[in-house]
Amino acid sequence: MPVEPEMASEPVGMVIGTEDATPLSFWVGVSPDAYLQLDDAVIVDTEVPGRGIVRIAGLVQEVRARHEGATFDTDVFLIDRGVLPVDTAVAAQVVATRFEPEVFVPPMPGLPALRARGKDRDEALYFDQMTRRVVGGLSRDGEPMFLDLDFLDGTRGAHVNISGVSGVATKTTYAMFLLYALFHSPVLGGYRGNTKAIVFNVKGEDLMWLDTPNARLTQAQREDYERLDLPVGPFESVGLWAPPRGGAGGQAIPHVESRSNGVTAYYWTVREFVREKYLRFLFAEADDERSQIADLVARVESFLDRECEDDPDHEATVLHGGYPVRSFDELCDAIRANVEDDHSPWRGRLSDATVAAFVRRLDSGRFRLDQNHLIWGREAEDPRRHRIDWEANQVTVVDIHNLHDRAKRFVTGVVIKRLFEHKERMGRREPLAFLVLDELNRYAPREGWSPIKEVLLDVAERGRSLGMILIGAEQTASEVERRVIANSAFRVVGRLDTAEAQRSEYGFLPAVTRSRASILKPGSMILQQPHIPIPVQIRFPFPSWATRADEAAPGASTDPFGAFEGD
Amino acid sequence: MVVLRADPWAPEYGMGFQARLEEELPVADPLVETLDWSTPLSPTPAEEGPVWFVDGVRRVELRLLAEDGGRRAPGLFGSFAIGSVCCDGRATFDEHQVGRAVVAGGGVMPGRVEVSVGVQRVAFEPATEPSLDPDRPLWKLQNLMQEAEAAMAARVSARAGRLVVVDGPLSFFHPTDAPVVGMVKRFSRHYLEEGREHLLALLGPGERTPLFALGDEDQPVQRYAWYLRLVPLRVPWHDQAGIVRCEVRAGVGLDTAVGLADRVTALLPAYAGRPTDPRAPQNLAPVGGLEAWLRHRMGDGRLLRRALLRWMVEGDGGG
Repeated sequence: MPVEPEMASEPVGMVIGTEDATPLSFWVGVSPDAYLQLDDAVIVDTEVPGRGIVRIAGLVQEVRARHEGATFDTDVFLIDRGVLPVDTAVAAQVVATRFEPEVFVPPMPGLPALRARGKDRDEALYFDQMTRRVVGGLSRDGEPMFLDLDFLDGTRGAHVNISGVSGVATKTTYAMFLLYALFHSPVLGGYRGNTKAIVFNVKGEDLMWLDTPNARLTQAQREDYERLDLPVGPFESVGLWAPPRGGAGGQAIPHVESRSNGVTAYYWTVREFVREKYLRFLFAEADDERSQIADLVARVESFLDRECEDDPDHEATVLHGGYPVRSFDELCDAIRANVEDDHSPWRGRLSDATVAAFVRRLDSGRFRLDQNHLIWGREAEDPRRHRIDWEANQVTVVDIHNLHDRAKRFVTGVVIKRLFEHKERMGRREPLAFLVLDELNRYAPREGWSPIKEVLLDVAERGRSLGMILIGAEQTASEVERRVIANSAFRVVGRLDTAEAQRSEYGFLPAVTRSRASILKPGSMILQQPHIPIPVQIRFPFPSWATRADEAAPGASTDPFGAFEGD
Repeated sequence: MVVLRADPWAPEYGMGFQARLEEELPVADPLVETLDWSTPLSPTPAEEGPVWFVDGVRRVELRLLAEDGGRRAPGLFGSFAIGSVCCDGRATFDEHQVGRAVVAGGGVMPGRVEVSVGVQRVAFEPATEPSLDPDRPLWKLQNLMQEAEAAMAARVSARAGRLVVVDGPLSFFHPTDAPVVGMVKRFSRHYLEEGREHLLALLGPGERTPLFALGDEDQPVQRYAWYLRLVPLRVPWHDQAGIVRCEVRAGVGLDTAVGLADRVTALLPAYAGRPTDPRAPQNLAPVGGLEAWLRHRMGDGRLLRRALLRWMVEGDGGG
């Protein structure tokens, strides 16, 4: 089959001999009529005596240009005036990614270097070895970049971790793009329809429009999707959940500012709280708490479950000691009364100090949950409808951005635990469940212990075999539990704070790439994946789903969209 | 059979290195343009247009002793490179050429020597000098370079009357009517009597003396020459610093010579050498850049020297 002209690798220069060429890194002198930019794929065929031709493929890591023959800084002004003759030299440093066959020799100076295109590029980036691949964005030169699904779905690895400064790193947007690519390409095969994702909306109401096309997408942005072989549109199957608004009686009205329909309010009932043992997530604060209080929480949970009977008059409540517990407040009062009673078996042999600490935390936790109306009693009408149901839609968005910190931990803890237990019961990997959670540093901090951290660690360490894939994000990876990050097969970095970029958590980024991370624009990320030995800068298309009310409006003006412009 | 044997000393030692053409002091006639030598001439700024600078560099690779039967003569392996720079708003390297010679004195003609340096073959063309003076082989090398330089200047200037400035005095190898200007950096001879030389101290940058003719007894007008100042005189300098002497062949005619003198005088201060150049300001910036570039084009001296020594071992010095 003839190779299309744009798919044929083209000569761009030759290996220079004035810098050492080593197997892992060498410099290419760029011809005056060609160019190489960062992240371009380059191939050099070098002949090894007795071994034949070895193809060395690599990626451009650095490009430099200089005046040859100029010795002083001021020479540039003379050169500009046409007084001093010089040559201009452009050279690109290439970091080798692949040797075929694997003979680790340097390319010989003087050998032609080619910009890899088509099949050669696929080989340089190991795309040819990815049997199941999903697009992860566009490379600098506008070609698709692929991720190996084997490392995402648990076959050989799982999880994605995304770091970057809030606001400009577009972490959640990238996570959503990955999900969009997964759900809109044939890569998941027969499981595509049943694969689910739960996304926590932690900031603004950006994710509350996933089901609506983006009316402000430009033609150029549409072409990005075309190049990636993806349709342009919203997520088709989206469930939107928000906490209830206060003071609305028995009807739970979702607390959302920007849209009034299509969102369901979520809450849990007193009965669920008792039966599912959610008490621990009220205590989900990060401290070194494997100790006394955690013990007491576990005791209380089990006593509650044992001693409470289902309320025959209402599906949301329970009976304790024959009396109905009609609200969350009453439940907390009952808990308090039991643990403070010296003769109650609930507290066991725990000291008064521990009980006091328990009660203090219980009170502050209950205040926050009450404030956000998360646990309902007798007032609940049709509570089943308000239980977050991730089976109903492909993507389930749980809005927690309005909640108090404690309430956020409670909701995430409860949802993730339920999902994890569900996957555990299913006992097989497929269909996969994706979990998108920003602000990981809040839920799985490096220091201390908390129930939700424990659940997240479970997901990170066992989720791979259970088919529960964590797409976690955080502003600073240095503040997140090491094991959560270490278990991520894909590391993605958006715009990084310069000081943060120097930390050891980003050791996988070469020095040049670290500097680049501090100037990344929204929509550009640096992607490290198991197959490719060096991280590569990518960009991803502007969301084809709305992220704001004015993008959702039909016939919205074509004025391009503030913060993300210029990707 | 001529046998060549190396002198182990590095070529920088043991030879007078400023090989100079031994000429008679020419006859000067200061009155060809004007009788008035009291004030400098300030030509109006030069018309725009490209100017070419031509220069050459040379290097002794290895000194040697040539033996032909009973005769022994000093000699050398030398390289030279000549090239040009075109300045037309941008300064770009134009054509260049590398030459190599094996020179012996005393009329001994060595054979052509070809050695391998890496994957390249490098050939040294034979040349000889009648004198046994140890400096003569270097003089010959210089001569070969100037010959090539003059040929290049003629070639460059032949293309549609371009202005060509050659670094160094004009040689007589390629007499031409083309506007080739020789520029002499070194102020070593006094062509003018003291009364007129006094004018040099008064020159400002971009100003020149009147033309004077140079020649000999038989042919009194061979060249027209003038002095010009490149940069303002600085306090610690003597008053003849920053001055160059330019010359054109008389064949161009006096009127053309005056025109060229005006143009070159107005033009050259813009190309004055960088203060960082050891021969600033007379070593013009384009020429300094060209010299470094040409030196590079001659190849690595250490590799050539090693290749020559190996040739002497393996090829038995041609004997």
